[in-house]
Amino acid sequence: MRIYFCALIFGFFLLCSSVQAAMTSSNFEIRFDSINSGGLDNSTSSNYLLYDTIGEQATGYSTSTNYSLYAGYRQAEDFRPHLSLLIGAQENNTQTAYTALSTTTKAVTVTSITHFATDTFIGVVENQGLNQKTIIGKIASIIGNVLTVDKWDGQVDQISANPSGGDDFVYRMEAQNGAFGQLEPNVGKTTVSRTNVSTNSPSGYSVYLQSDGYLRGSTTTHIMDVADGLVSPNFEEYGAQVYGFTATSTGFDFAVSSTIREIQTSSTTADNDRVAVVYKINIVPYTPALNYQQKVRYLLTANF
Amino acid sequence: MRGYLVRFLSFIALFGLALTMLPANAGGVGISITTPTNGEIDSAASTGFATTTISWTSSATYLNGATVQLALAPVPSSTAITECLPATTSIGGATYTFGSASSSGAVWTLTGNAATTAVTLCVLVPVTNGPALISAKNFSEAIVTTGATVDFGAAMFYVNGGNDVTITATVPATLSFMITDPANINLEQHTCNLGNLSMSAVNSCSYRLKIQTNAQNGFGAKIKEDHDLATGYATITNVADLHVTAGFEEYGVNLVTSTYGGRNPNTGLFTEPATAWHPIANDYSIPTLATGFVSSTNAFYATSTGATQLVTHKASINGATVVGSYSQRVTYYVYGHF
Repeated sequence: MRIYFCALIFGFFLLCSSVQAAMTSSNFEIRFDSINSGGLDNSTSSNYLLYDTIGEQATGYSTSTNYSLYAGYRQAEDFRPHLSLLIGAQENNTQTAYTALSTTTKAVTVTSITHFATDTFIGVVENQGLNQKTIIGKIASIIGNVLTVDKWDGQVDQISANPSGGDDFVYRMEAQNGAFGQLEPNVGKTTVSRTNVSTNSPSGYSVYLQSDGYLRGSTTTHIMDVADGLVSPNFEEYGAQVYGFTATSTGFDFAVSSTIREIQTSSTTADNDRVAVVYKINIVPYTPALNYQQKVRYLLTANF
Repeated sequence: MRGYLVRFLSFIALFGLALTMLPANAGGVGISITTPTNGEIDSAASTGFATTTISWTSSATYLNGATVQLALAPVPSSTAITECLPATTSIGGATYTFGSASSSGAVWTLTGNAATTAVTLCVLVPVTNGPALISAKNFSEAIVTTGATVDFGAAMFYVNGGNDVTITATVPATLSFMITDPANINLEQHTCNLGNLSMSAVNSCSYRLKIQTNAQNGFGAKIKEDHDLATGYATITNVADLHVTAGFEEYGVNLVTSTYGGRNPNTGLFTEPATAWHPIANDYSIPTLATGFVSSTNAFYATSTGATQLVTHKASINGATVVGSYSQRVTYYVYGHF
């Protein structure tokens, strides 16, 4: 009897040795299934479609030295790696004053909604200039003159709720060009760009920044790169600083150069991770009169 | 004997159980981009397609029947991708078939076992709209393999500057010129009085030229006189021997240029000197035709005395010099080299 029992166990596990446990027939295949207490594939509202499963336990992502596990029925639905990078820059012609800001309700009240639409990015700049405070977000709704974003990123804990001084603005952030405009000696100016990263890479990602050379007006004339960590009045300097929850290279103005620099990183998946890159410039009275230009590229690498 | 058999079969059963619990090979793989550099697509072939090549090291060698699924998101075009021709794809050296090509991806199916773990996929991606590249766009190429080894990974591609921000700035032109008191460069001066001339000394008077510009290539300044230093019926002889000397009837001008003020293009500091028309140790006559006098090849910043140009007029007489009141008008022209 014991012999038969052992043989039965042996035979059972041999039959079950296939890694692919999908159920198949001649014409059909069930690639994955799960017995749960509920769930639907077609829950809907006006703007959303929901696929849900109720009653599973211990779902989610986990790892060991050599393996990774996506546990749960819904994990198998979209196993395909996902990676996305969106870039945008401040549109100066959309400059709009704002009268109130809330980081808790994720809203900003503007004087006009002319330049704004849902699903577009905005940047809020307080005390515009070399020491400005900057936050970014994506408009989720517009009610009256109130723009509500999905979330704020940037200097969220430093920007104030009540603008004053007439130098506080909201910009749309969908351009490919970051324009300082016409410069004046010892009047520092800024322009902002933003990233938006999404990935299901469980080990995260990094975003790098690299320019094609100096901010230059000719082959022999360029604006001096900042070297002391701070773009300041009375000096001809150009640089940038990064702000946001996933920002690196923070706390100082760095030279935007052909040396590749990491500006954003995470060690886990990204759901619209963003940083604001604030470019800063100051010229002196006899900085050469030219039109200056520089191309800055953003490179995303995921750690699958 | 029976007990031995029971123990043997138990061992085999447990061994089989352990085997079935071993998971298949699987894992994230790092995708590297071979072409184009950094994944940046800035041009396309005349066919409208750009070549993209990605590579990775598989977790284990892929076996016959395994598939490599490539997905593009978002799709750059509604046109289907194709395999590179000649095909440079290599899936560990295995034979394969290429199919299911669409605008959003393709599938390679192995028809033999791979010999190595080195994998390279090359596809042609449509990136034009008519003759021109599509508007700036970023898309990912993601891979998932099936079979005993399940690998996954993704890499980013950027079309037509989809990952670029172009920074621009304009510095407007400035040019200024002032003739100043030699001791106070903020005080204008438009006369130079040589006083009562004598045979025993050389008389002189001075002023400074304060020239500033942000012209990339600097400035030039010319000098001319309306006529020689003259009264209505006589002139003072122009110096010809490089030095106005007491006891001789001579008149001339001396220029001492600034030792700094010009912008150094490498440092941005205003450390470069201006350039004089002639050696600064000598005296020269003033031409009646506008002639280059002082210049710089750099933007020029003159907020201190040392960055200005010192002009000194000198005159002396002899016993035959006609009595009278002598004068002339000296004119300067300044222009920037933008």
